[in-house]
Amino acid sequence: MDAKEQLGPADKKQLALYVYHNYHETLNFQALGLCKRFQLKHCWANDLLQELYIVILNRPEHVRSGLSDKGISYLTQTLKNIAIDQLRKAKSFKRAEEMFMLYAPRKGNILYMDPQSQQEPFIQQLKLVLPPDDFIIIHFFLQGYAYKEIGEIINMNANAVGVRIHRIKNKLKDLGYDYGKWSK
Amino acid sequence: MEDQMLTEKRLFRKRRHSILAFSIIKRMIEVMQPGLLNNTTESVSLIRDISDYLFSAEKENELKLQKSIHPDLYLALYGLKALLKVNSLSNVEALMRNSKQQFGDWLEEEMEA
Repeated sequence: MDAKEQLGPADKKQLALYVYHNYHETLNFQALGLCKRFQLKHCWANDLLQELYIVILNRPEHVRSGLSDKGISYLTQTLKNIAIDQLRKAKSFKRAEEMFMLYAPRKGNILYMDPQSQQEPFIQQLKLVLPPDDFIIIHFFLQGYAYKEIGEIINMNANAVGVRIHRIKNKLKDLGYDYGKWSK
Repeated sequence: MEDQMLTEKRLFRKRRHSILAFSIIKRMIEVMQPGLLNNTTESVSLIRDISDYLFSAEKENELKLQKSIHPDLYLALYGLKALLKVNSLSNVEALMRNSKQQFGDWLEEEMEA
C-alpha cells in the first residue's frame, strides 16, 4: 500500500485495534525493556505505549506501510525512537535547569524556577555571546544529545566534546551572566 | 508471592518446556521468532536457554541468548525478566491482562475523540 494514500477514520481505528489485539503484550514488554535499558522508571512504559498508539492514530498511512514491510519490527523501532526522544527531553530539561541554577541569580526573580519556559530566550542569548562553534555544541547539549551523538554530528571525538562543554560552561561563568539582561 | 516464585523457578528448571504453557511467552515468540516453536533440536535448545535466562541471574546466559535470538525478542524478554524479579509469572500474566484492559479503555476513548 502506498504510504501517501489517505486512510479514513474507520481505517485508523481498524489499524490501532489490529496492533492492540495482535501485538500489545509484546510491545508492553519491549517498552519495559527499553525503560530498563535507558534507566527510566517502569511507569514510563505506559507513556511510551500511549505515544506509540498516538503515532498510529496520527500517521496511519506510514504505520500501515511500515507494518506491511517490516512487521512488528517497525513498531519496535518506532517505540525505540519514542523512548530516545523522551530520554532526550528529560535530559534537555535537566541540563537547562542545571545551567539556570549556575547562571541565574536566585534573588528577586521566581522565573528561574521554570527553566523550560525560559529555555528559548536563554538559547537566543547564548547565540549572541558564544562563538558559532561553541554555540552549536551547547545547543545540541541543551537539546539532550549525548556527547557521542554530538561528536558524530560535528565530527569530533566524544571526549573532546565533553571538554569543550566544560570550557563553554566556564566561559559563560566568566561572562558574569546577568539574568535580567536576557530574560526580557 | 516469594514461595510461588521459588516454585516456578524449580518447575521451569525441571520441566523446561512448560515455559511455553504461558501464553504471554508463547505469543511473544510466535510474533517475533515463530521458528522457535518448531520442534527442532536447535529451537528446543533455544527455548531452554530462554527459560534459563528468565529464571537465573547468571550473566553468561544473557550474553549467550542475546547472540542467538532476534534482538526485538531479546528486548521483550529483557522487559519480562525485569518484572519477574519482583513477580511470579502467573502474577505477570494477571498484571498484563489488567494493563491491556486499561489500555483498551483508553484507546476506545482516544478513538472516539
